[in-house]
Amino acid sequence: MESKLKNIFNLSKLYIKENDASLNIINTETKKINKKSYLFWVYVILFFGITYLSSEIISYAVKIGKPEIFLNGFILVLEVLIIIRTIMVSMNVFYFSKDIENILHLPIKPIEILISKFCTILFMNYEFELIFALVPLFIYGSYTFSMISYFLHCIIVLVVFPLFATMIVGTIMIFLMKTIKIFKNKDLMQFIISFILIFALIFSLEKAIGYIFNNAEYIEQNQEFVLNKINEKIIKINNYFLNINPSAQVLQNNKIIINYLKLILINFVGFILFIFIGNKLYLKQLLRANFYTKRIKNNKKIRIKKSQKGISYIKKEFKLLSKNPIFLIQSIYPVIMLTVLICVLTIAIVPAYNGLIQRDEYKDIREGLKFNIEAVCIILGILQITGLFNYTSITSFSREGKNAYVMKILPISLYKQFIYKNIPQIALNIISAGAILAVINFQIPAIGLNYILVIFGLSILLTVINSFILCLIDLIMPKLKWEAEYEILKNSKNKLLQYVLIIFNILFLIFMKDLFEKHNLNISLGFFAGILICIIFILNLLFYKFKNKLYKKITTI
Amino acid sequence: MIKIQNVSKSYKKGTKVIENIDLEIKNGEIFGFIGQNGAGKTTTIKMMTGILEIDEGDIFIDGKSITNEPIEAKKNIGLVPDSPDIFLKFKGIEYLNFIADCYNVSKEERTQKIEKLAKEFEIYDELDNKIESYSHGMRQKIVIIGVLLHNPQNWILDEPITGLDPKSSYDLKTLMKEHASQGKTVFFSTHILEIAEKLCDRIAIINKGKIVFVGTLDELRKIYGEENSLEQIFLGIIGE
Repeated sequence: MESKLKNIFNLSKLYIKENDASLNIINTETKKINKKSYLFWVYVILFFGITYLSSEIISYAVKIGKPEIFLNGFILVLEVLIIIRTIMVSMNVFYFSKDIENILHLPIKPIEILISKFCTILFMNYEFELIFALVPLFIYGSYTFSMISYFLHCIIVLVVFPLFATMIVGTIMIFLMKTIKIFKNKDLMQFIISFILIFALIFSLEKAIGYIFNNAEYIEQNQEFVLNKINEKIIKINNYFLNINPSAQVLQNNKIIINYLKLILINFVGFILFIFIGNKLYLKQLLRANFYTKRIKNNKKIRIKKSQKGISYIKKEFKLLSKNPIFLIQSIYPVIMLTVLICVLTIAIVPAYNGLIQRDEYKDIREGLKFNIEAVCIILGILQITGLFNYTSITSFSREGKNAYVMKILPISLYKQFIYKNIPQIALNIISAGAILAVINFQIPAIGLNYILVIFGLSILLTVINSFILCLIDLIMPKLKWEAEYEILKNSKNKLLQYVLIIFNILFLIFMKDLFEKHNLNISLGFFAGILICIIFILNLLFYKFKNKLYKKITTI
Repeated sequence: MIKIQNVSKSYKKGTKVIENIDLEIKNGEIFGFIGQNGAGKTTTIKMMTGILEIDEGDIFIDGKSITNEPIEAKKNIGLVPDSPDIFLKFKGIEYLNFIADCYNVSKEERTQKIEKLAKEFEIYDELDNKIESYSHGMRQKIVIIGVLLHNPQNWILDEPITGLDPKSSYDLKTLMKEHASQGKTVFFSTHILEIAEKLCDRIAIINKGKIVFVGTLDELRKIYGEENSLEQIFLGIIGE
């Protein structure tokens, strides 16, 4: 027993260290914070952003005398985020991480590997809580004048809270790996399983928002009634997640011992289930995932086909993205998720908003609503958000890795190859913008299809400019030497420039709004499109002139 | 024909890694480019194929400058790199189709060549599998088939024998001889002297970025002593 625990402890320590080293936030040599790490600054900004946002919401909730709405809602959001995060990482950590091959030949039992992998994900979730949950809950405590015991309970709850979600998601993953036998391709399986789970979660979210903000119940009711009703509904939803309400009750100082006992019981049952299923299924799946040979003897005639040079090159770009699960998850997955999320939120929120502004107290807002250049810029800004997480162009050259030299030896001009490399991001963003605009058109018919089409056209022009600049950044500073695919994005400084570009885009949209605010909408849109076309033309011209110098770093062989 | 004209290259200002190289590789010739690790072999090959910019001088592939007419020059080159780990997620046949498309190889021609070469190299049955599942030798073979698909006038190989089993190594050497016998150029780098001895019509020895010998092996022996082995001569030339 002691040696088992020692194995689990050592393995967990190893995995956690490995994970932290790859994040590059702590310098492994000096043991100090690496201030050059972009991730460190992203976390700092997030930390302050969340602190500000939560203190604003809590102070409002306290002012209206309903602080518990924040607590119940916040814990629900935290649970959903932990579940999404666990879904995203667990398949890779449990089955496909590179270290498994090096561990399997050691005298360590599969269940010990499983538990240490579980501890790794749990630790990741604790890091997540540290940034997203600790400060808001402490602010809640100070705003509600809680005693010192609240803060102690808060820490205990945060330690216990992610256990259940991690165990349940882990169990579901192991179970799905067993049941979905048809997918012998592990790459595809990794993608599909997490895809299904996240989609299920997003659609549940849509239903939950629709349920919470059901306008029919709130019409002609006073604010107090509405808030009480919303709180009631959140608690009802929280009941579906067994660990939320007991945690919230502990933090609200209600029946502390009983709720702790509930939490212990829930987690104990979850752990037994996880270990039982893991013991039965994990090793076999682990071996199949790592050593499953995909080579087949081919008895049928192979497919030899001819395509146009350009089409073949573009197909190659899409294949490079789609055949590699890491590229797929890093580049395409977030765009699909965000598109679905924005569509779902639009479907859930617009009717609720429409209902809300029908109330008498919002008469001024209702009468002030009109479609103008500001609305166009807001919609374009929303479409930019999906571009924020589209890493297709910013990794277009780095993705090639050892293949990069092929670009230089092919008898295809460097300019054309650059254009072809832009196609995946542009195509993805067009699909995403098309889907979001279709939902907006359906939800807000007042805008009119002609304007929706104009916005679609403007978004395509913006996408072309963005993709062009991002590809250019990656061409000038490519990361061609990598061992594992995830390194490209994880340690990429270019990613930070992508965020800067999006911020710049939003500022540009604000500038456009100010510039055309007092002009006729149709003329403004025409000028707007003209400006974007000019930018595309200038960028093309500059690239064509300096293409040889820009390809200088593509020299791997 | 490949003509390297007074070519120099430096990665850092003031430090030339290639210094005033002049070489001419004629049609129908197998030319060995010999040097120890870090001598400048791969840098030269990178410049010959347009991967690296040339600082001074120029390289002509069948009369086309790789600097001024890169597309035309590249149509006449087939490069086999020292590491064949490319397009690992692609199936062998997908890679070959892509390369054939880039060089405008007709469907009939590619079908005939893929079948012939893949069967000769004994990887025909593996073409529908991903390249990542191939062994090093098989990866090398798929790259070689890709290069031979468009029947390039000039075949450039960087350390081609490394990692190949005896049978594949023999097959590759036979292919190189066949290619040269059709009046085409084969240029390959190596540090295995025995291969150069058995295969090359002429060799060039490169040391610290400079060409220290160009000629046939007989000429080499005449200059540096016939009683010495090739290995001793080579070590003598590079000053070890």
